[in-house]
Amino acid sequence: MNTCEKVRMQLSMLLYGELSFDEEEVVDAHLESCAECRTALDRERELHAAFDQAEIESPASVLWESRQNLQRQIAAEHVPAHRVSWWDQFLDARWLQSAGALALLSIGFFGARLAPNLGLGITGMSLVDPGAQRVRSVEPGPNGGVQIVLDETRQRTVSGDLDDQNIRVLLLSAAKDPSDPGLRYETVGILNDRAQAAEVRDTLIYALEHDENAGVRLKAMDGLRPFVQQPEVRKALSGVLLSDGNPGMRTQAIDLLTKGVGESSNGLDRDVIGTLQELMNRENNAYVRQRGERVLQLVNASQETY
Amino acid sequence: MAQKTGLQTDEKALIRAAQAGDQDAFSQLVRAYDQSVLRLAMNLLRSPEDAQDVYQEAFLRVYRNLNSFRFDCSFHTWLYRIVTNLCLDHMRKRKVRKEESSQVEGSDGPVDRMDTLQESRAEGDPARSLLTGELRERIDKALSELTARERMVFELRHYQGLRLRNIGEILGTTEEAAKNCLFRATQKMRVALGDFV
Amino acid sequence: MKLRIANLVMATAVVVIVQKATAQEPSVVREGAYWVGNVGDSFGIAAQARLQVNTRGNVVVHREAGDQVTYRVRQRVRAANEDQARALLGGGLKQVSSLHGRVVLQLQPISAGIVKTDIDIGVPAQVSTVIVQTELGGINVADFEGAVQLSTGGGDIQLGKIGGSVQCYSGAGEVIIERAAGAINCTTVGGNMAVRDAGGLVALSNQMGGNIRVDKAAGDVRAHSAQGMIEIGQAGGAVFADTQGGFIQVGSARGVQAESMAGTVRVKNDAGPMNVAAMAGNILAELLNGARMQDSSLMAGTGDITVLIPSNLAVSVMARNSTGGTPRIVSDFPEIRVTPSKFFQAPMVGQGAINGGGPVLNLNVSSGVIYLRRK
Repeated sequence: MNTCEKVRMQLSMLLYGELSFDEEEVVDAHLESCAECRTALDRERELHAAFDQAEIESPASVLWESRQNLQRQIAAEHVPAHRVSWWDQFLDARWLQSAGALALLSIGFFGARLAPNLGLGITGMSLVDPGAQRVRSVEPGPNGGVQIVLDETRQRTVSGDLDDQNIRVLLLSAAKDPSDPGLRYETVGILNDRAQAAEVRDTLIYALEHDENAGVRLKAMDGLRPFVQQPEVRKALSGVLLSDGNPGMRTQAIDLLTKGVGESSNGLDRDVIGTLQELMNRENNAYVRQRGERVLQLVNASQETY
Repeated sequence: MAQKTGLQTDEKALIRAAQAGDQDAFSQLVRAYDQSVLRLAMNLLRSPEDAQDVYQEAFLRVYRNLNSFRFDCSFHTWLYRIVTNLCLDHMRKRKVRKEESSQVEGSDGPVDRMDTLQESRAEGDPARSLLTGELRERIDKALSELTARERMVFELRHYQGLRLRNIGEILGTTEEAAKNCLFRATQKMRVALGDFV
Repeated sequence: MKLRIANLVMATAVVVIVQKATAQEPSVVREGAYWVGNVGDSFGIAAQARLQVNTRGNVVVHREAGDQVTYRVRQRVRAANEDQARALLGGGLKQVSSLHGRVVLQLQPISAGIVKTDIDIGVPAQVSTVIVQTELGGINVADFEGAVQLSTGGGDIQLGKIGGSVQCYSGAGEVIIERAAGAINCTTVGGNMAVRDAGGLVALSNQMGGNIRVDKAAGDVRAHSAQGMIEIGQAGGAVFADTQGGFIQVGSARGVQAESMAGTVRVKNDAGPMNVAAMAGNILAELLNGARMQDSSLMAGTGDITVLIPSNLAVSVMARNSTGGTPRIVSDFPEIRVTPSKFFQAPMVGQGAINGGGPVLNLNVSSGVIYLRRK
């Protein structure tokens, strides 16, 4: 490529001011000495000017209507501050609850196995100030067990079996810790192995529906995968389909909900059909729409309702 | 510069207030950006209905997720991430629809039914600016032939005047990739319009 | 003017229609409650050619012996009778053209949305690159020697063993790659992303959120997630990771740049600089034995910083803890002199040269504890 060709490739970027200092130097220097390229630059300017004219202004009425509609929709929604405080309250309540449960159950258990590396020779666990306690991190331990680091006024490590009720209680609360999505993710990952227990499943469903972090929600969905036939799991997945902002979540949810539909003789339950019909009104992801549409046809659901 | 900092501080305060549940703060935040959002959607989608859809959905998502906004990027970038994703979805969906319904097998190969509709569509479009006739049509056609991403980058750079670095941030790609995309877009436009300008 | 346009069209459209759709009706057979339509054919392709498939539906690419590209479109729909089934399956565009060494196969079924469409493409080894663009649906490539460029409007992308580079995009869905010898560059709007073994650079981006996992990569790894966890096992090059919410974990790398808005960052570094910031979350950084360190900086907003330092590593430490009240810097190294804050609210500073000093390790905590641990 000769210099003229190179320079012409860059004219558009020059007009956009998106050349680096050095690139611009080279182009400028060349333009000074080359009349043809200057003409080309003029043409490029004309082209840009032509683009300018293709812009359309939206009518003021559209803006006004949009604002009105938004206001209406927001009024129909929960107020976020309210939701937050509700969430906070809920968490606090859970904290007290689980801590209370611990106080009742824990003495033998915590005395039994404390992480030796911190050298905390605690033989009984005092929960004088349960509000000051918090699960800091959770990781799989040896022999299929689990290690939990607790923050109190000082940190301590407890370890035990996943099926141990006390460990379970700590895990269930860590899965809802609002401050650290990484902690929630790892906790959910560990709980996924025990999703056959209803209380664990409830926590996973809670994470699926309420966790603000898409990574945590996706992880919770992994754990619920084997239980997709359970009504409460289906209900939660339907909720994801209608309200989760992440299209990856909706894609996985519809794959799970519609898996094997039409293969066997039994169709879908009415609730899921209703969800799919509602989905057709609002889904903007083409893939999810298409899956929903196909399933609705397969189960011979009336498509006239949307 | 000082002014800019001042503006940002105010915006931060607005966002914090909105996060705390202050409805007025939220609506001020909306008003600060909603015209440019609507203009972007309108330009990209060329339909007031679709643009309104994007507007609603975008600000509802902002409303629902405002608490997860952590000031790690500017609010503008965050908002535009949401808006551009919604627009891209719309554009892809429309492209699918178009290919689904309009490509027919003519005796000389595939023919696009849309071609014959161009005139009536142009007339029906509201708020068209003065540019008329062939050039206008050519620009529209050339724009519609860009890929969704090329169209988006071109729109953000040319009509919204954003810097490529910022565009990359919004679209989740690098400045270099955005630049390549813009380069392809202008190249295609130049080829399509070469004889008219 | 018109003439010039005509010339332009002539010049660019060196399109050779190798094969065109025939009017022949596809076979439609009954399978249980379904009607199934099958369309398929094959065509020769030059060595080193690039094959592009434009379509709509789920696409499976497999290796084919010989030098022919084969394709099969299988469509399935539930219908009352054959006529209705044919109406639903519709027709479609089927065309092969070639331009500058790129062979484009257009398979555009014009079917009702309820039709399930699966496309199977057999690609001979002599094809250098496979490009798949499907409007909607998953893409699966089990084994291919060359490079792949894949995009879907929505659906999962699953790749087995790819001999060349990988580029992919999904409008929504997972991206899973077992092995790729070349560079990987993938984006999904939302969904998990995983790479088991990469022979080159890896760049993964998740626009609206999802977890990213890379087990092993020979080159640099770039990972971006709007929200979600990022886990990098072993990187031959540097790791650049950022997430707005979630932990970041790096098993080993030659340089790390990591940013997490909320979540812990755990990093093991072999060589090169480390720049880590965690706004709300802890940082745990382990310097590996014999690490060739460079100047590094770790910053935690709310959270602790723990650095594990091998006993033979030469490093200069500059630690600042700005926690209000009584800030803490806990050190296993007598070389580190900790200066208590002189007046209320002033940061506590710990500095010193370990093993004679070396590259500077800058540690900053706004609210938390700094631990310097001997490994």
